[in-house]
Amino acid sequence: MSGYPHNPSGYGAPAQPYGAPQPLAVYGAPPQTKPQKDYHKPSSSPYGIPQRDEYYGSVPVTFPPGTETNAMSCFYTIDKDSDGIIDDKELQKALLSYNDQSFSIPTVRLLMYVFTKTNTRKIGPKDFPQVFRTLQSWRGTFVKFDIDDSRMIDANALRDALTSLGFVVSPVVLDLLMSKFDKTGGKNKTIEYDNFVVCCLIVKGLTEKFMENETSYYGQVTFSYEAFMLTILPVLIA
Amino acid sequence: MSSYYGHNTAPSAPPEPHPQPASHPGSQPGVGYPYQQPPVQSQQPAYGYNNNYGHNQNQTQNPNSSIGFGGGQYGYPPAPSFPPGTHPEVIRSFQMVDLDRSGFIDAKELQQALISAYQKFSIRTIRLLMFQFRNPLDPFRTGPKEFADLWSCLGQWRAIFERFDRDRSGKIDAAELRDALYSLGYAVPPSVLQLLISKYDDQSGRRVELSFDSFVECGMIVKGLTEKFKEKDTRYTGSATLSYETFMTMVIPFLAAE
Repeated sequence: MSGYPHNPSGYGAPAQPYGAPQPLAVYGAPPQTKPQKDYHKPSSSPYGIPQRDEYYGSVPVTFPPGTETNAMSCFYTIDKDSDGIIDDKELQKALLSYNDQSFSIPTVRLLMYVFTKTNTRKIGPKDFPQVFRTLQSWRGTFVKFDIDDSRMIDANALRDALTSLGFVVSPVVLDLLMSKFDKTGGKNKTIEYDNFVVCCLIVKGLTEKFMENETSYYGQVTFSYEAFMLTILPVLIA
Repeated sequence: MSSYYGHNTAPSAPPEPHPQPASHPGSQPGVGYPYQQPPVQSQQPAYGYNNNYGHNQNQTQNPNSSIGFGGGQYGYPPAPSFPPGTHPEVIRSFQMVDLDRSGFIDAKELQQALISAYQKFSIRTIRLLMFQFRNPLDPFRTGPKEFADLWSCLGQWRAIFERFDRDRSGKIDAAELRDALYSLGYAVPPSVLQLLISKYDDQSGRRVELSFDSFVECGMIVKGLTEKFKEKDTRYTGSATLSYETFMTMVIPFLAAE
């Protein structure tokens, strides 16, 4: 669209209107959100704030209403090839450089699966803001429960952290999670930040899949063999 | 038998740790084992670390059963034993990595132990194998019996993989995977197969193919989940009713750890 103050063919980092792009999270600092007041306003604004329905490259990028500008500018920055969509490699790089978190490609794909409910291994502007917010929320939660700032939390803290995120897990499940995600193989019973994120992802993914199927009031689901396998496998082999 | 899971009763217990003669009713026809029948042992059944080391003077030393340690006691408490008739190569492979002679090996050691007779499996596959053949006393480590069972299972699976890898490329495609899983006793619905295959798709446009490592990974997941599901399907209807707790408990052990 005309009037847009930057090079339309690429959205390189130096053109960021707010200076340095807002990272996905700053350890300990919550993001500032500035919701768009009138998102029907056409393209340009004096500050070059990325609007909804903006074009960059030649691809319309539409964020959901109320998307905070941090999320949007973050999206644009991560989308290095400016094709309007973030693929698994771009997201992996972004998580590494912004959060100093190295996630394997399968974990990145799992993240995409959990948030888009598809196997496309890509995230667009529709789903990205939720990823952005959720990762920040998880980060904030971890920080809150990492009282001694050791970058590790124990089983009790994990349980409380998951509860505060809306997931109530039993002691048996908690123990299984701890064993799975404790890098010492279950000896220390502690979980580091990066595995905490994966753990939340798993719990969220599995819980949502279970809830999708839940038809009775008793918290039980009857699965056919096929449905069971189709429900579980995407989370196991991302 | 029910058609929901497989065409025959796939054994839920791991196969026996020593090769079966072809006429044995439980064996699969045409499945070869990668090694010969072990030499016949005429001594006592226990085949542990302390065997054949001269502490029992009534034994005749059988040179074929040498474990390669040059005799003598170790002064260790008796370690859990290998099942009777375990092939010496299996024992040797285990002991080569069990350097502290504890009688248990962890994931890295197991990975190492399987290299010479099989290959270096990914740690993900190793962990799935350990889980499938887990030791009730120590879920993070594998003991001799579990190792022997696991070894035997891998031998069976490799024979099947090779049978379906008709062009000897070292990889099998989707149709071959379906047939291989079927011959292992798992009738995987097409939708599930499609999902499995998509996970190994590198999205290069080429036909998806699985290496033996991926086949074992994928097969262990199918085997493990199917067996767990069947446990809950007590009336063998092809459906199971699961609480959230049960659901999570069944699935979490199969997750890949970072």
